[in-house]
Amino acid sequence: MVLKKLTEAFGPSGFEDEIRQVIYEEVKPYADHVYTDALGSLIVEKNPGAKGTKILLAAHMDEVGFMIVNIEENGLLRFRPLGGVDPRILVSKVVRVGEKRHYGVIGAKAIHLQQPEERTKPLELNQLYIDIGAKNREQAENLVEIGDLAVFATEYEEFGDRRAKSKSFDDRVGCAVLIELLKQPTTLPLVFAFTVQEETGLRGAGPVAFRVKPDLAIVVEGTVCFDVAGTPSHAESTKQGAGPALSVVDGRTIGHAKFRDFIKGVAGEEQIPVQYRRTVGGANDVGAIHLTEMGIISAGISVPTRYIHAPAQIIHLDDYENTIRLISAVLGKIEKGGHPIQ
Amino acid sequence: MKELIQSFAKIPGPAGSEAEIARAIRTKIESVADEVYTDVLGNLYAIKKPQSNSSAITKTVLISAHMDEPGVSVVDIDEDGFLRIAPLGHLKPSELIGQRVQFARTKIAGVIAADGDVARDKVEFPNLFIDIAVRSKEDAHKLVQIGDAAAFDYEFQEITPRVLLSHALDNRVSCAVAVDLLEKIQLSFQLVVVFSTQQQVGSRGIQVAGYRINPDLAMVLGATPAGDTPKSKNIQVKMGGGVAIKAQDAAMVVAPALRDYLIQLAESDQIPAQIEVASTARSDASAIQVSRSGVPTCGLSVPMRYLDSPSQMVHMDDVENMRKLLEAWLRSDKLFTHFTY
Repeated sequence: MVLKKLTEAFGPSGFEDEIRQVIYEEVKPYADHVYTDALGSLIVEKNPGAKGTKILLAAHMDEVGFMIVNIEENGLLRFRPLGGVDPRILVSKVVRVGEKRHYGVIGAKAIHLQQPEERTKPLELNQLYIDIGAKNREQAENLVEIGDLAVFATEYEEFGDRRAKSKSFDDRVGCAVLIELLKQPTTLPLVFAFTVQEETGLRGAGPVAFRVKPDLAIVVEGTVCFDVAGTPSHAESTKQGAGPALSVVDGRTIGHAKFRDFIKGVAGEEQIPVQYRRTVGGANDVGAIHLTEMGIISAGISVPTRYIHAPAQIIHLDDYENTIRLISAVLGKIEKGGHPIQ
Repeated sequence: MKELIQSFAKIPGPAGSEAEIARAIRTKIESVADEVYTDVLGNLYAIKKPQSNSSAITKTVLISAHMDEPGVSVVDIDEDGFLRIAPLGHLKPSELIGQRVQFARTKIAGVIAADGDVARDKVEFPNLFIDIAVRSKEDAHKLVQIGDAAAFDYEFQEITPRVLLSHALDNRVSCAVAVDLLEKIQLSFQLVVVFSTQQQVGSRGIQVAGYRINPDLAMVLGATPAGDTPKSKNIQVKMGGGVAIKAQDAAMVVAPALRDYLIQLAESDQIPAQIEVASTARSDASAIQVSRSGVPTCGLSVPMRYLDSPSQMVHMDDVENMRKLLEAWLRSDKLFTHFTY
């Protein structure tokens, strides 16, 4: 089960070694050429040098996580987030820490001990710590070092109406989509890039695009979704089960309208449900890719992900499958008809 | 020049939707440039080759003027046909209530309004919508697509014969100056004028243009907020006080040699000029300066009152002085030798 393997692998921004190895094992049988670049992105080529539109398909393999920045006298660990994490969601969450993946819990003062005033305020980052059960600094130092990383400990699980939860659908769901697409036969020169450090500012994708120099780029993401009771359509951003979401405008990109229309047209022909991403907050690797060199025509396609950047992210498996179908159909259409934008 | 500014200012060109203003500029420059083309980001390039003689210098100077203006993009359509929007550029949500807009692609008119259950000073972008006077989502879809962008829609006015008032004077004034230059100048080196896109959302167009042209020297034409109004927090640049020579803006610092050369030229040619030290305004200069291995980049700006509003005001004296100093700079003896790097 590729989603389980990918989402449970360890890989906060800048420290993608384990997830990269997991992806490498998955892609190896289907790749014509596999390599990593200086920042650590994994680049997989299919039909290199073949005629036809060269397309870069990118998904980032890093996840939001934490870095241990200090070990206190009492053995508790101070930490800082890597990527955008809301400190209010951290209390009492279970994490895995360091090379040995020790379990830890993000602790805070119990409600019994809090003053009435304290109960009205969310805890800030400097009031939180990771407890790994060590009795003092010396014992903690045998288990972890300053600079070690931590991620949420959530396991992959399917439940309910074809839903699945995990710690890292952003963006392991995109990585899984890429792996499934890689398995499909094609004559196009395709480059699949599993990028690094997206969560800390789209750092890995630019150098990949500079190296690959594609004719077109498609970024596959897990994106914000708040389709809960009482939220108007334009504030929920995306709706689960309503299909992959096409980006219009976000914090780093004004989407390429013709390429988006082409993708929407393919969805219509193939009767694959699609929706627009209806909010502007956040950004993805398109922001770096589309401004590389002389500019690259790019599109963002996302699987709606509830509770993104939090320990239990939820997707609808229909959306995951429809994202694969949609991009597969887009590639098929370009294979037959050539570059869609003249 | 005034007619040129007016003809450019009336065209809606929000960031990302510059196709029409690019076409209008292209019509003017097609016959005077040696080569004209556009790129993936929508930037418009005009190449003017060196005069054909043996002493031609193998250098390229890039002059940029962004075409885009702030606006809003449609991200969703309500059941009742109201359009939900996102900002393109730095806009304050509460200041948009009641503003008239026009869509770039279709010319549909609309007015921005806010949900009735939010206090005016608490309004955020998700509370705003555009009313285009239709009754249903279906009817709205006949007129507008998701991703369509609109800009402010206000008449161009001459408050006095020398003072202009309009939206988008930032930066159509510079576009007009650059077009006028292309029409009249012939140089001994290659001149590339880039009419750039998406400046309002972070100088995105010029980033790829700088990479493509890889110039030896760059000049950014823009606008800077004037500080000559009551209790203004802006720098003491006066409208009508001369063209502003950029020393720095919020995103870059001009090399002193480049800046001082422009100041000297202004003095020797008796062109009224001031110094721009803009602490809040950004320009395309920052992106060109760090393109490839770095480009010596300077800037000239027109002092502009109410730059962050749809009612921007400029003085024609400043526009003409920008045009004069630009030409003096391009024709100057030490253009390629007054700095080292």
